Parts: sequence; C-alpha cells; structure tokens
Amino acid sequence: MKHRTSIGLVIATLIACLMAWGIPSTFAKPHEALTFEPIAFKPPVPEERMLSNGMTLYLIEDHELPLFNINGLIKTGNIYESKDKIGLSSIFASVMRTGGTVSREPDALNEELESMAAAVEVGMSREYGTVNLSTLAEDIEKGLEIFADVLRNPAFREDKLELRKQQAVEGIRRRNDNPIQLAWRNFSALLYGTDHPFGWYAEIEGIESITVDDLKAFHAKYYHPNNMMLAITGDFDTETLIAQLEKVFEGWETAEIMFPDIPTVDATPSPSVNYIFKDLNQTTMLIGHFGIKRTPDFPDYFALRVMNDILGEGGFTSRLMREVREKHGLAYMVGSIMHTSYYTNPGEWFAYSQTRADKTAEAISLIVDVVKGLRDTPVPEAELQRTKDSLINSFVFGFESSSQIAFQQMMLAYRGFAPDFLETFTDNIAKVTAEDVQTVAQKYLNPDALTIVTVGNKDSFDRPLDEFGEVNEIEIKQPAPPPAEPMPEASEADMAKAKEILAAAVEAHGGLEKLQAVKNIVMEASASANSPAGPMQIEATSYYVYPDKFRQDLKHPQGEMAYVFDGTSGFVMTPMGNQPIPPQVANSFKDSVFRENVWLLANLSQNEIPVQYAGTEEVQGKQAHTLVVQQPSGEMLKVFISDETHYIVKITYREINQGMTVNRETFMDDYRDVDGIKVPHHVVQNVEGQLFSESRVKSVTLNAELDESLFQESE
Amino acid sequence: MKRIRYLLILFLVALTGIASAQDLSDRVVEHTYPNGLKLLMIKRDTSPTIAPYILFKAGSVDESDDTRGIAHMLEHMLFKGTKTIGTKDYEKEKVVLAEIDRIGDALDMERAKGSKADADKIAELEAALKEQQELAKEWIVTGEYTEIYTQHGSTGFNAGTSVDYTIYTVELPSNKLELWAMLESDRLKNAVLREFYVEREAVKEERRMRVDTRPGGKLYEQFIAAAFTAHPYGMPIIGWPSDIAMLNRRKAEAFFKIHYAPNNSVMVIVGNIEIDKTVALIDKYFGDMQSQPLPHEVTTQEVPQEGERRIEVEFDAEPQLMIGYHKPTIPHFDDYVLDMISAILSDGRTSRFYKNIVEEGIAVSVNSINGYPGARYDNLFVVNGTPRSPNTTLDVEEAIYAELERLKTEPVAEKEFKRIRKQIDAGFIRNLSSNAGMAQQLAFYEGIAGDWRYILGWRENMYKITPEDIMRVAKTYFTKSNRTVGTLVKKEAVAPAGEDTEGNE
Repeated sequence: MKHRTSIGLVIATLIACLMAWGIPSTFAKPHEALTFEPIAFKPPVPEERMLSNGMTLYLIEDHELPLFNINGLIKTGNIYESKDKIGLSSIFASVMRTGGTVSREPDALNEELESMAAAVEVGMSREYGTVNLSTLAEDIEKGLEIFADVLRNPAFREDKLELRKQQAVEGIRRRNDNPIQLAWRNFSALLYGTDHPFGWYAEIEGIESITVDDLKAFHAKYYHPNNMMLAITGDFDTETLIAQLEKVFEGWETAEIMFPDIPTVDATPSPSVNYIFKDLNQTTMLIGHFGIKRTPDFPDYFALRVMNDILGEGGFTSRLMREVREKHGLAYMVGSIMHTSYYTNPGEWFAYSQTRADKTAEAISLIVDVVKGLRDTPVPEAELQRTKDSLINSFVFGFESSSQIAFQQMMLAYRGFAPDFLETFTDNIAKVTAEDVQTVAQKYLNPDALTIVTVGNKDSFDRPLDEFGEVNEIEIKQPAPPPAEPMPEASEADMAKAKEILAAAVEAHGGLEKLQAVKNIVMEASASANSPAGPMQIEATSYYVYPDKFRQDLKHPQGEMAYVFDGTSGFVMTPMGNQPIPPQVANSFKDSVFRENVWLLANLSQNEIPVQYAGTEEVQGKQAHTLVVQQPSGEMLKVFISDETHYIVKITYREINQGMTVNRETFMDDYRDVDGIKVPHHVVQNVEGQLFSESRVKSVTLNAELDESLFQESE
Repeated sequence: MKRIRYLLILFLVALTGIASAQDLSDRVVEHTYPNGLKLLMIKRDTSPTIAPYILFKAGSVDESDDTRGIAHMLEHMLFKGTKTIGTKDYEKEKVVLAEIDRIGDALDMERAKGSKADADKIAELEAALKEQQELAKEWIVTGEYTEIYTQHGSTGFNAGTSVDYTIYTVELPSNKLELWAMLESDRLKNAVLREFYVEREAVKEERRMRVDTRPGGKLYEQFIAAAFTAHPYGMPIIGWPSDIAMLNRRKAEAFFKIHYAPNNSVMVIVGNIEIDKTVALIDKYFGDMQSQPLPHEVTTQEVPQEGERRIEVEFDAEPQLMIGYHKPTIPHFDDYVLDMISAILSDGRTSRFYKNIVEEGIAVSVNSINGYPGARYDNLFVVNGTPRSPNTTLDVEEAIYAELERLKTEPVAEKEFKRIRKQIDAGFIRNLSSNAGMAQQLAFYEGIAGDWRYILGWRENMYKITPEDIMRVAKTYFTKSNRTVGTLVKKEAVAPAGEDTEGNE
C-alpha cells in the first residue's frame, strides 16, 4: 500500500495593497488607509493512498459535520465515443445509475438511497467520467456497499436505456430552442469539423442505434480500479475506511486498458463568418478559435491566467465587461473563455456576447478591438497589479472546504499538473510581467483568424456582416428521424404479380365499382387498450373522408378527446381546449387515411401507385401474399393478403412521431358485409411487438352525410 | 455575472434543506443596533474566509406603475461607486451628471410620444446627451468600485433582485471584513448613480436575454401576469420594455432613500470572524445611519380566482407547460403542507412525478415549486413540465392532474413521510457546510419571514403533517377554477407561402 503525504501548503495573502495601482486622485479614497492582518492559512493536505487493486485515494478527515463524500474520476470521456454512436458515453453514464445493478432493481436502488438521504451519481464530461457518493456519516458502510455495487455491477436494464434514448432524442429535438446552445454547437463543429469528437453532436439515428451491449462494452473497457481516483472527505477514520474499501472492492481486478487514439487536430486557423437565422431581437455571438493543448510542463500557464482574467474571464473588471457593457451598454452578458486540454485536443477559445440586433456589427468590432489591444499594447502596470492581486488574494477560495481541497488535488493529478503547482501558484502569478502578458496574447490570440458565429435576424443588423469576411449562412433544420427505407428494387414480374393479387383482393372486398363509390366511411368501435396506466376501455368513432380527411372521437374513463385532420393541418380537442398538431403528426394522419382498407384498394387500383410483390408469409397460421407500397409520408406499408380469402389480414408500417420511430402491426379478421363491401370487424394492433389494442367494430356506415364542421376548429 | 437572480431557486434551496436544527440554533448569534439594523452571525473557522450579505426588504413588489423595474435598476446602479470611489472629482462630476439628467428626461419624454415624437428633436437631444456623457468621462472612473473588491480577492461579488427583496452578496478573505464594512456603508451613505443611461441599455439587453430570446422566460412572464390580476406579483421584476425606457436617476434615488434604511435590512456574516469585534466594527461603519419610517406594505390583495385561466405563448421553440394554483404564503400551516406535497411530487427519483410521468416517458422533466414568485404575500404552487414528443403539453397536463387527484383521495404512506423527514434532517446538516448558503438562508428568512427561526419551526411543522392534512390541502387548492395554465406553443419558422413540401402525392 502506497503511503504518501505531500508537503503542506501555506496560503498567504498580500499584506497590503497600497501599491501604485490607484487612479491619480485629488480625493483620498477612504479604503486606501486600511491595513489588513496577514492571513497565514495551512489548509488540510489530502493524504494520498493506493488500494491493493490500484485505485488511488485522496483522503481528508473532517469531523466538523457528520457527513461523508466521495468524488471519483474515471479516465474516459466523450472523446472516446465512436462516430456512429455519438452520445453513447453520456447515455452510458445515466443508465449506469438509473438501470440499477445486477442485484438491485432500479426502484429498489432509488428507494434504498433516498430513504437514507444518500446519493450515488454517475456523470460524463469531455475528458473524464465521474462517480460520486454522498451520505450521512452514520450510513458510510451501507453507502460504500451501494457505491461499489453501482461501479462494479451495473445492469443497464433495457427499459431504462430506452427511456434515456427517448430523452436524448427529445434533447436533440429541442437543441435549437436556445440561441447560446445553437451557437456553441455550430462553433465547435466549425472548428473541429467532422473528424474529431469535439466537433460532434448527437443525431437521432446514432442515438437509436445504441444497445445494452454497447453500454456493457463501454463499462468493461474503462471501469477498472486502476483507472480511477477517489477524493474522500468527511467524518470517518482513515484506517477503518481503507479496510471497508478493500472489502467492498475485493475481487475487482486491475486490468490493462487500451485507450482509443484520438484524432490529432490540424490547428491551422480557418477563419469564417457564420450566420444562423433565428427571429430574435438580440444577436448571440461567439468569436474565437482553437484553444491550447496543454503539456504537463506548461510555463505559459500563469501569464495566460493573468491575460485571460484581463481579457474576459475576470468578471466585472475584465476588459470585455468594462468596454462592451459598462462603457457602451451593448450587452448584459459578455466575456471570454479559454479552454486548455491535456489530451490531443487544443480546446476552444472564444469571446461571447448577446447584443441587440441593431448593434451586432458594432459589438463584434468592439470585441475584436479589445482582443487586438492586448496584443498591440502592454497592459498598464496598475491593471496588471490589480489582476495579479485578485488571483493571489482569491486563491484561498480554492480551499474553503475539505471536499473542494481533495477534489482539486485529485484533478490536478489527473490533468498532469506539476506536483508543486499549488505551492508555487501565488509566486508564479506574482512573477508575471506586462511583457509576459503581451507575449502570450501574441502567441495565443489570433484576431486575424477568427471563427465568428452569430445567431439572430440579419434584417435588423446595423451593418452587413461581410465586413468581417465572406458570410456563410448556416441553415438549421428541425432534426429529422432516420429516412424511410427506400422501396426495394422490383422486377417486372414482381410488379405484375402484385397487380394480380391486388385485383383478387379488390374483387374479394366487393369489386372496384363498389369500392370506388365509397366517398367516406364512419366506424364505431369498442377497444380495450394497454395504456401506461393499465388496461383502458375506449369507445371510438372514426371518420375517414377520402382522400385525406380524418377524425377520431375517443371516450375513455378520464374523459373525451378527438383528433381532427382536414387534409393539411389538424388539432387535438380536449375538455381543456384545442391544441394544434405538429406537421409530423399530420403526416401520420395522412397515412392513416391512405391505408384504410376501402380507400387503399380503390386508390391503388385506379391511381397507378407502384405496388410491389414481396413474397409470401404466414399470418395467423395461414398463407398470405405481401404487397409493398409507399405511403404519403414516404414510409413503407406492407399489406398482407390472404391466399385463401383474398382479404387484407394484416398490415405493418413504421410510424414516426416527432423523432421516434414506432413499428406497428394491425391484424384484421371477422370480415362482414356492409352494403356489398367486406369490412373487418375485429382489429388487433401491436406496437413494437406488444399487444396495444383490440377493437370490435359495432357499426359501419358508408357514405354518411357528414357536416364540414366536423373537421373545423370551433371555439 | 448575474446581477439578478430570479427568485425561485433561492427559495427552493431554502425549503428543501436547512442546517441541523439543534446545531443551527446554538450557532447563530444575533445583534440589533439602535437604528434597527439586525446583524446575524455564524462563526465558522474551517477556512479564513467570510460571506457577508445584506438584504433589503425592497423588491419589485414595492414599485409603483411609473417606477416598474426600478428595484432591479437601482441594484445595478449601486455598483457604480460613491462620492469618492468611481470618480476623480465628484464636485466637478456632479455638475455634468445633473445636465445628463436634464437632457435624459427631455429625451425620454419625447421618445415616449411614440409616432408623434419629433425626430429632429430626438436627434438633437441624443447628440446633446452624448456630448455630456463624453464630458463626464473626464471625471468618471468606470468600474472602480468593483475593481477594489476584485483586487482584494472577492468571489461571488454580486446582487440579486426578487419580487420581495434585494440582496448584495460577496465572499472575501476574512482579513477583509473591515474593507467590506467600509465599502458597503459608503455605498449606502454616498452612492452616486452615475452612468445611468448606459447601464439602462445593459438592463435592456438583460431583458432581451432573459425574456425575448428564452422560451422559458417568455412563458414565465406571461404566465405570472395571467395568474395575478390585482397583486403586483404578476409584474415582471425587470419591468416591461416601456417601463425600463422611462427609468431615471431621480426615480432610483427616491426608491433608494425610501427603502434602503437600516431598519429595513438584514445583515448576515458567516465565516471566520470574532463575534465581539464584528459587532463593534459594524457599529463603527453602520451605526450612524438613521432609522426611518418603514414604507407601506402592499395592501392590494389578489381577488379569489373564479375560473381556470389558460394562456398560450407562441415561440420558435418546442412546447413547455406551467400550471399554478393560488395558495397562502408563510407561515400559514397549509404552506408547510404544500412544501411536503412538493417533496412528495418532485424530490428525487422516488418522487411521484419522476416515477409516474418521467419514467413513463410522457415528459422529460416535471417539477413542482411551492411559493412562487415570492413569499411576502400569498403566492402560487407551480408545476413545470417539458413534454417528450409525441406527447403534448396536454398529455403532460393530464398526467400531472392525475397525480394531484391522487393526493386528494389516497393517504400518503408513512414510508414516504419517513424518507422526506430524513432528507430534511440531512439537508439541515449539509447546508451548514457552506458560508454563502447559510448567509443566503438566514438573510432570507430573517428578512421575509421576519425571523430566521422560521427555519427551525419549519422542521417542526414538517414533522407534524399528517396524511389527512395532505388530502385536505390538495382538495382545497388543487381545483380547476383556482389554476392558471400556460403553454409554450411552437411558432413554425416562416416558410414559403402555400407550399406543402411534406407529402409526395
């Protein structure tokens, strides 16, 4: 067992700040006369230990309050995702927690933790994974056992993966709602392109392809004791705790981990000016380029820290804030962020602002000028001193709690900082000169090679953006579900065979003349449906008016509702009011009229819609011919026609409801004669292979007298 | 960087977890000065840092029709310095500031005429204003007040305005307590609201950011305006655009004078302090401030709601839902019961909303908040929902109502109470681990509930609640006629007219 304690750190603040930082003044500032007792604070030092399985620990006993915390890091991250399953690692982290463990059902796990006011959480960032435990001190033993169980034996239950995937798809659907999110996604994609994980963002298709096996493989690859560090703080005894940890992790073996290569980035700047339309009165702008790939030994770190504070990371007193907001009133939120990365990625650097549309170009120019100013002119001594004092005096806030101290120590180790980084931090900051700041500004800021992303409405801009370069307009589309499968290739023979089967079906259902004469059909049915709340009885009346109007009135125990579609748009009617339906749902209503038996047969026969023959299959134990046809939405419809009766006995199709695909099967039998036309009176519907509803038709009316108002929205 | 914190989160944190009751009552030290200033302290020596907070019981609810937005605007302006900080020579500067006020007033009046305004006159006044603003630059030191704090190592230097109060926050190394007392008392005694019209533009940007470009912000503003027809809780904290356009230094100074009195404030200092020395130090800097008659409380009461209110907001974003029920504020017993109900509905993965709505895939999130938008007056119990497509806001609404109905008829199991009580007690302990968190809570409850001990009583009351209380309260407030429902509806992006590109027929 490794046992190491690093040298203690003493934090001292500046004794007084009476140096020449003030502005020449004819009036004394009252605070300048104050003197301050020096602070000499020796924060607790985390004890570094290693478990027998190779797991590294940073421990601080802190008996102030009866609490216990573990913050763990795992060497993994979004960067290890593959391009065809973007979003996998974040979904993995969620389901590792929500999916329960092999011996604990998800509900039981939640109940157990929350009834002792404890939490175990799993997270994922770009360059690491996290796992945390928080309990009261009285529950340490139980807490550790659950923590280890989640780490070692996650079950990744299928239903929880499905739920998380659905949530991810919903997130994708909503990703253009917020202008900052929209700008950021495009900014990083522009910088990194499609060959590097930092440029990627998830799409519906990739999310849908993620399987339980993918999650298990991700776990097997990275979640090993030697690939983890834990920062442990709170009301515990170190030796007892080490023994408890050895026990809960017993048998969890060290493993060799092969980290995938991360593509190297060609950091050659490729400046561009980009515009994304969103009809807003304020423009969101990101202006920047690649950040810095940091090496463990990175001498520019301290000068950069000072420079970034002066530029836009220092809050109210940074130059961007002072110039853009305080002096010009051009923003509420303005600043800059420089990412440095330890891996092969340079991260990003960018300035950001949200500015009224008619000051967009003015704000961009001002921001670029502030950046140029840092390169062109040395920082005035007073401003430099103020910034350095600020960094040195606020250093103590990195040591306010033991959990913060232990976590910081662990993070520095993870990111490969020098062991004496904290001990030498304030001295290194104090050494930074105006020349150093200018040097790093010239080295790392490149105002001539900026990637500019704006989200807003250019009709209201003060000046066209092309003064900053040729404008690339990025069109944002509502994320679409995976495209419909194309119609399979069909031979002449298949087409001919389809026609023959279709003709037989038309005859069996009543003949073309009779079918063509039907202009509408009204059906009343009783259905029992499997809803999330359990089985439910529904009374339904469906109106089909060919070729494209549809209405369905539903009565269920909770109340009444109706879906209404007039061929172009529609709405849902409930006791609480009407709500319009989105275009995608409108599409699926068009499809439902299209595949209604009577109209389907008439329509296919008379309107030369391509129909293909796709072999035979057994339906309910009997031979049936399969026809394939494309619905108005583009989705395929398979129609199964009995070889014996020539009735339609089954249809299958995929329905897309706002991003998620659902596979449906409908079985039809109990055909009865209605005015010479055969109509099925027993209909069973499956969704994703599960029984969804079973209906008995009570009445069928052909060519009913229908009022137009049935399809209109009334108040 | 956020100078305004929109209420809610503060209260939510306060109500779901508070320091160990016994421990807390032992550790809080109180001192009241002759001028009415109340000081609360907790000595906590884990690090050489302090969190000194000041809260004024002055929020947007204390505004009138012609000053709407002034509480928040004043909060911004109190970062602009004093007669000695932020200026090179105040005597010379103030002459220019007066001129800026005079021109600014004339400009605002002219602009307010709208289409009848004289464009030439506006241009002339704008030019004159600009000229005076340039002159003022000779004396103004932009950002000096904040720079002093920053240089001395401050973190979390900020302020927030809610409907009920305004709070000024910072954390400092503990040897800077006197600097804080000096700077804070200086701005209370000698604030100069310079650079007003530039900051007013920043506030307009803040409104655009929070409301005009954010689907949730827009929905919230319309929802709350529909829920309150009489009481000022229905008005936006930041003000309507036309209100902001008419704010000026005179209005801000008047609000400042009336509301920022020592006897209308609470000061809290948590951290590495000596109690006696701190009491003396605060006396030295704040003791000479005069107490003054307190402003009137709001007397307008919301009339009972007599029918469901439904509003829609169209926005280029996916749908969202807000439902609110009127109910009494603290310390009414039913308010505690609604805190308990909120915990049952939406705290954690064992909560009913999570299990029955989120895990069923109907919504991606559903949360409840008791005590919206403030706590000084009767307020709302609010439920927010974000549907998961293809479910609509109506589906989510139905699912929420099913859970609220269940509360009326099914007694809550002892197991649920037990879990929540354990979490309350753990929350008490966890909250003690942050100086800033404690300062925020003590200031809030002392200022708004009138006594920080509300926190202790809250725990006792939460323990008293019975299954019958829950059913009675659910039946009383969760009625159709008592609710306001707001939905965000997707406004489709402008497409070429008359073309339906969807089908392939």
